[in-house]
Amino acid sequence: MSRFVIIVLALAACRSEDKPAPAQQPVPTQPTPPAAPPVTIDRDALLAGKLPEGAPETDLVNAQCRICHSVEYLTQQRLGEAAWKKTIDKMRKFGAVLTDEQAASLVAFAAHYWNPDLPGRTWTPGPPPPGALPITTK
Amino acid sequence: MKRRTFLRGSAAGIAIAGAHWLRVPTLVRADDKPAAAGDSAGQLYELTSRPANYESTRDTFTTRITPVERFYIRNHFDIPVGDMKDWKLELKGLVAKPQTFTLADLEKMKQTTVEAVLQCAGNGRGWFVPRVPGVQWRWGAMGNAEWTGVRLKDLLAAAGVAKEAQHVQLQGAEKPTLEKTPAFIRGIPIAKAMHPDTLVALRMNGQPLSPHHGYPARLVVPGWVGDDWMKWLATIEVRADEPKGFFYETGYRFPATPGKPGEPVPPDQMKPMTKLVVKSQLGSIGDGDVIAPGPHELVGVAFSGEAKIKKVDITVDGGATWQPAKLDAHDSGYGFRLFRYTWDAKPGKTKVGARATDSAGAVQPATAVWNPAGYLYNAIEMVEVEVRA
Repeated sequence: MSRFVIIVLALAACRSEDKPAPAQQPVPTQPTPPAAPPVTIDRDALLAGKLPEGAPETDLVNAQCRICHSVEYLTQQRLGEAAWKKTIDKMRKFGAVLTDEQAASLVAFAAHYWNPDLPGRTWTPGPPPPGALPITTK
Repeated sequence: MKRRTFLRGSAAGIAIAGAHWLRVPTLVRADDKPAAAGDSAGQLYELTSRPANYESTRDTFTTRITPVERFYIRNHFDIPVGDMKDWKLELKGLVAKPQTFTLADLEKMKQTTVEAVLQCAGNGRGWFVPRVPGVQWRWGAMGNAEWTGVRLKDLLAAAGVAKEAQHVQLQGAEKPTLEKTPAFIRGIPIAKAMHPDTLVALRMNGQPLSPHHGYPARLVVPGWVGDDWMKWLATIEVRADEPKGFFYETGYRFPATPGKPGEPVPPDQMKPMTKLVVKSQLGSIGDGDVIAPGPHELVGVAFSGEAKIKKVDITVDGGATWQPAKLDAHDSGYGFRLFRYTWDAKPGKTKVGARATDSAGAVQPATAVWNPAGYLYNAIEMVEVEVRA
């Protein structure tokens, strides 16, 4: 968990470029309970299905999860730590290549951002995917 | 906002071409914004683009037959690509004469049409509390179509099924991206496979299946959950023992006895799902809608696995009182049963809901049975509506 807090601080430092603040201080984008780590991704971006930029876990998501899944598969989940661990353990069995340390850090990362306290994501209706329309060829 | 065209369905149903989706006159639309009738966009919500998982908009559930372009799409993996003219269906296992069928072979055989609801077992998963992992479907992972194809029993008869046969194992042409990911293999008991309504379907609503719906052939298992309706069907294996593989032995299972919400269920208590459960869905009105006072026709669909819909009751006062809705005459058994109720809406905030009862006596519950994978959600949906001038 301590590693995770360091990641959050590193992220906060990145974000402080556009929001001037004392060096090394986390910059919450909105008020958070004192015990909780600061949220370092804009809440609207989180609800729109974006990943926090710059976190090593984001690189793991891009390198492993996205081999099979588009990112919304992760960002629409709202799970506690135990359920995230079960999910990531299953994905390791299914072929995701993660060390134990990487898997543990990914569980903490996912449970921090995409947990049951985050409101539901917003959906926008769009065109069906290619190939969804009836085919007319024989 | 464009006003919707009202169209009352006749007893024979609404023609698919040029169909209009009935909506109450909505002043403010809170939860979704479907396209105007005839538009090509705005027909499905993208839940995940890869693999392709798209759900229907709410107003789709105001017609009996779901058009293909409004029909939800659910995939475990990328859809198979390649030249499907080389596709063959293999029938093997405990049979006297293993068979191979080309599309042309199947097209020459006797064709049967069955109207049936296809619903993903996980439809409504997003409503479960505690939350569960998986595609977060709301209402839209279901649809009703006319499926046309060859009876599976005719194919099995051609092969000659052995006496000890108990199950058929099913596999499609789709492949996981990674070698370590288990293939999508499912199965149904031989009795359901031999049922005259179980089809190897080639057509959906009169058209050849689209690639996303399993072209050139998919299984149709009326009344049963969608995971049995194998797309791009490539192999049917007749077996004495139960089908093998993660998606049968571990996945798509439901607790034999409901446990405490949020608690794990021992694997030996998890049984393969079979029938769908009784459910209704309001299509013409949604959560957060603001409507004008006066008469509004509430429209939706109801269905149950292997039972018929006996009645649908409507509440417009948050469940304090219930009144019967009018059921459309068309009743195919496995398909959507359209219901209508004229509500004289008075100013104020209220909750509107529908509750279906089937011919076996099953009634939609206030709370669905929580289960670890979020299957078979069928709780009564209460939508919050404001009536104001």
